[in-house]
Amino acid sequence: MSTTEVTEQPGATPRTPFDWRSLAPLATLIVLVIFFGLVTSNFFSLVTVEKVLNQGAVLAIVSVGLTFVLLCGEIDLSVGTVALWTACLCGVLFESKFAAGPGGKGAIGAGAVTLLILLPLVTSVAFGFLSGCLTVVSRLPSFIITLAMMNVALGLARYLTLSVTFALPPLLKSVGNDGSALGAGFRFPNSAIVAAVVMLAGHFILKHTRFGRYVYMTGGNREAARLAGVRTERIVIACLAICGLTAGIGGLVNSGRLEKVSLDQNADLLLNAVACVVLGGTSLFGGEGSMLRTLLGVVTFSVLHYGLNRISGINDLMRPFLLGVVLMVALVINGLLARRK
Amino acid sequence: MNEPVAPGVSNRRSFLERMALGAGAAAVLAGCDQPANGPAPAGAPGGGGAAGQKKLRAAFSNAGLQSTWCSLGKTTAELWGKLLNVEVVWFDGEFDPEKQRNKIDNITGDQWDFCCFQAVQIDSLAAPVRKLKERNIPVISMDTMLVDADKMRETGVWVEVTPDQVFMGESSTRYMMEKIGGKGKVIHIGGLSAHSGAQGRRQGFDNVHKKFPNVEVLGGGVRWCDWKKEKARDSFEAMLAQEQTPIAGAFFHSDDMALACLPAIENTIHKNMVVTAVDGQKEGLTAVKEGKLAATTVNPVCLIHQTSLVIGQFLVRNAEKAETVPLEIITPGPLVSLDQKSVLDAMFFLADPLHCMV
Repeated sequence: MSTTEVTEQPGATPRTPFDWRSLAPLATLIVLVIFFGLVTSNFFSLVTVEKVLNQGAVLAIVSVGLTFVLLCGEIDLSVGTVALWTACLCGVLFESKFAAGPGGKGAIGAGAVTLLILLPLVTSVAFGFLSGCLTVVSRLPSFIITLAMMNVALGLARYLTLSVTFALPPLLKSVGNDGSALGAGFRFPNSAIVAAVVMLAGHFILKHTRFGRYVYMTGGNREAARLAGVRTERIVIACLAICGLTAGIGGLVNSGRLEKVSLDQNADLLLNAVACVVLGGTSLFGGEGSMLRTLLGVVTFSVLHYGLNRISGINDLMRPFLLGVVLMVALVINGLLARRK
Repeated sequence: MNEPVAPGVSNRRSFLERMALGAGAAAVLAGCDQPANGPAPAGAPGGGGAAGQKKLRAAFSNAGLQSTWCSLGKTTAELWGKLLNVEVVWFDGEFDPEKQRNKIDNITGDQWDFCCFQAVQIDSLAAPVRKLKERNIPVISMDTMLVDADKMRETGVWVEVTPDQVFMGESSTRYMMEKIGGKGKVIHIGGLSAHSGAQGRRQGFDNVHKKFPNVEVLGGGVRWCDWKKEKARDSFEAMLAQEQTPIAGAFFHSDDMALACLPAIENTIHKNMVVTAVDGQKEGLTAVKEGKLAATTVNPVCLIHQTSLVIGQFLVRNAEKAETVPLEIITPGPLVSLDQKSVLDAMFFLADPLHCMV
């Protein structure tokens, strides 16, 4: 890494928390909350908060990695299948005779559980690292490389599991389903705690480290960054590796929530996570965005998703249509407001 | 069809004899040390096949091998193919009608004795099936319709081997309704709205629901979740959250979706909910045994694939005519609950990937 010190973030990271672009997703969120509060019963309750946190946790985790990748002007299409691969590997290892055995019925120690979680995560990082290296070496768009990696991860997951469903360590089930009771019937979901830790780490790296500033520089103007001494190739590789890691964590948490891992999971994860990041105002073209915006996007998307599920007076087949319309309106308003800046 | 064998070479009695031998081989296999959860190992069933008869070659394709249901179907066809001396060549539909169409288009000129297809989408395989018909190769439709019933013969589909989707929906729903005493609120989580299987299960639910006027379906009716566990869980949680009184029951179109949702009712006012579903394979049966699922109706994936294969080899070895074959053959699947432990035990045995019989 170059020793060049960068004091200003190029691109358009917001100087104040209420620039136009930040206002759009916030306004969308407020409108949605008011709307769902009016049309559904008991929406303004702690249960809603708990469910939104629980249902948005996986998206939040995966979106952190995608934010890094988008900020440096790249994309990772393999997050869904890398998440799937990671969970599948964990499940297969868990049911191996060296661990809990068939059906996951046997008892295993904390050390073994740690290994069962860390080893798959190492492979998810390796997927991202490999995508990054191939992107840099081949000079092909990451879009193409990660498209291929998407199939590599899916194929490996299918080959590994033979389409069989596998059990997971109880720790992951607890992360996905349990929470800390905070009184008044409210539980703070464990998955949301994991998401918060990952988001805080992402925020800290982006805002308070040299690497974070280099990510913005690489995405804002790669040639300028390179001339300024930033080894942009390494930044791209690191961002894709981070994205692999968060995809892996997200995959484990999601499978834990569903209690088992099977090949039909995470099908919508990629597009939903990209929608969250962009909804928050992070640019698809790099250099502009932040973890706070991603958080806003995740919360907005989760509220929208949860609220639509709560509405009972509409034709069920129209829910995707409504989801699409609201997303479209929010993104267009976001884009229009950004142009005013 | 390649050199059809003269009629009489194989008949149902000799088939039953071979089945008995095959069951013996399966029993031997059951005693062997097998990998956990995995399908039967390649090459395992060696005896009991149609020894001395010409080996047949069959093309198989189902919706997508990433599904446990379809994967078990492949295991079944391969296992029983070995027992009946039929080489099974598999073409994964990948849950994509275009990909499946391309694969089947590519093989219409190859040498097959018969073909068994589960189309990802109705009519999508009609054209290649017509080409197979021109070559007098029997095509058997599995599980879902290849083409509309009135076009089966003209397209070249000899027979459809299918479960009774409506019955499965009715069976599980009726059990739930009776267990909740015919009153209260229930949740109905559906599969993919365009899927004929999901439509049948919905019809089954509605048929039974009409007889229980004191049961209210939350959310205004079925919630279509495209067979996706995440989507089912999110919808299910949202409906749980808006109810201040216990919900009496829930019916899911698949065991997988039901099992993914069960953790959501733990430690809530809805924890005594009666949950029923459809599929009745290993995961669902285990959940019934553990008391997590109240009941499930077996969607006999193995029986569908096994029956298709058996019929196919009969058609070829007996040189049977399409006109003599019924358009539809229903493969039954029972309701499984703890109320009838013998049925549960039997289903565990039959659904075992070593046997692939239901």
